[in-house]
Amino acid sequence: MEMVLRGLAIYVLLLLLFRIGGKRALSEVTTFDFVLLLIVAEATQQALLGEDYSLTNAVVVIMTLIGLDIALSVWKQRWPRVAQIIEGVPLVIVEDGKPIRSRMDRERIDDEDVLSAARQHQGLERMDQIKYAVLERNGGITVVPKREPPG
Amino acid sequence: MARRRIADLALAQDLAFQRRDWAAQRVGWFFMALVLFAATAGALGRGGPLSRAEARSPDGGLRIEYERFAHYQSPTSLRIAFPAEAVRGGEVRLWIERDYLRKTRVEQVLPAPRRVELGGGRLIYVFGVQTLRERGAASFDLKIEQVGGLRGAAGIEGGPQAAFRQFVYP
Repeated sequence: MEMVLRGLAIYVLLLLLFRIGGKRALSEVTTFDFVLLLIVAEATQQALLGEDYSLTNAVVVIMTLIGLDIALSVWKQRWPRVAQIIEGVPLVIVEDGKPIRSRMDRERIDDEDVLSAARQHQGLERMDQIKYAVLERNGGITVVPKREPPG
Repeated sequence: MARRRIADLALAQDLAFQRRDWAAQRVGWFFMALVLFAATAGALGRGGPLSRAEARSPDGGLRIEYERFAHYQSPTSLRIAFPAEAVRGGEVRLWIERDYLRKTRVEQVLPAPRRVELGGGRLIYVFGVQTLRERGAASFDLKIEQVGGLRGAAGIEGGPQAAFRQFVYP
């Protein structure tokens, strides 16, 4: 029983903490974000397994985590509200080349983050070439370019 | 999810929810700060001013140093100091409540007792003592195998005793 409880507790706690951290927290913007993620995993591992390094324990814990994930995904599909609460909602942060400051500040995003995404995925050069930039639920920024006038 | 359109964009944006989300995040940050503050103060165990505690027998002769907040299955210790009068016939008979020991796992006792006896709901550790002018002490390294509140008591057989309470975090 303890094995399942450990898995459950870690799952819920991590879910909660990452939601509190906001969309951008640890979304691998920098190398250090990635390193931090590894450290979180390392710190979690002990609490998940306790002093029991048996195969049975590992299998039960893994099944608990995957099972919870499946259950949650089914639940999210049935009730959109649950999906919102667990995953958050996407947010438009640039509209028609104009950054929406209030939203960007709240999510701790600056122009450079947006421009970086625009360069990386669309090869854009300036803010005014962006039609929309959206902060997605996974913390990534997606960019829709303005269509070039023909000719 | 309601797929609203923001001009040309089909997007499940929900500003009302987003605002509540932000508010909830702020509350979450506050609680996180609170937990970290409590942890620094020792309320979550592992050192800090709130963490270590001491129980004394009414006459002050016996002192038990223990961790007020301990962690499940993690090393903790009891240090029991007793007065010189506790030595009788070259031995000190130090008991710990059996109920307490049943919920813990004693990993090491220092110094090593000569023998351990069972009697009256207690486990009696008998230490050999050559000379003792002021005060002697024995320490018990243990791991607690139960989550939640835990009571314990220890003392010298026929002498002073003290009780203590611990809280064990999972």
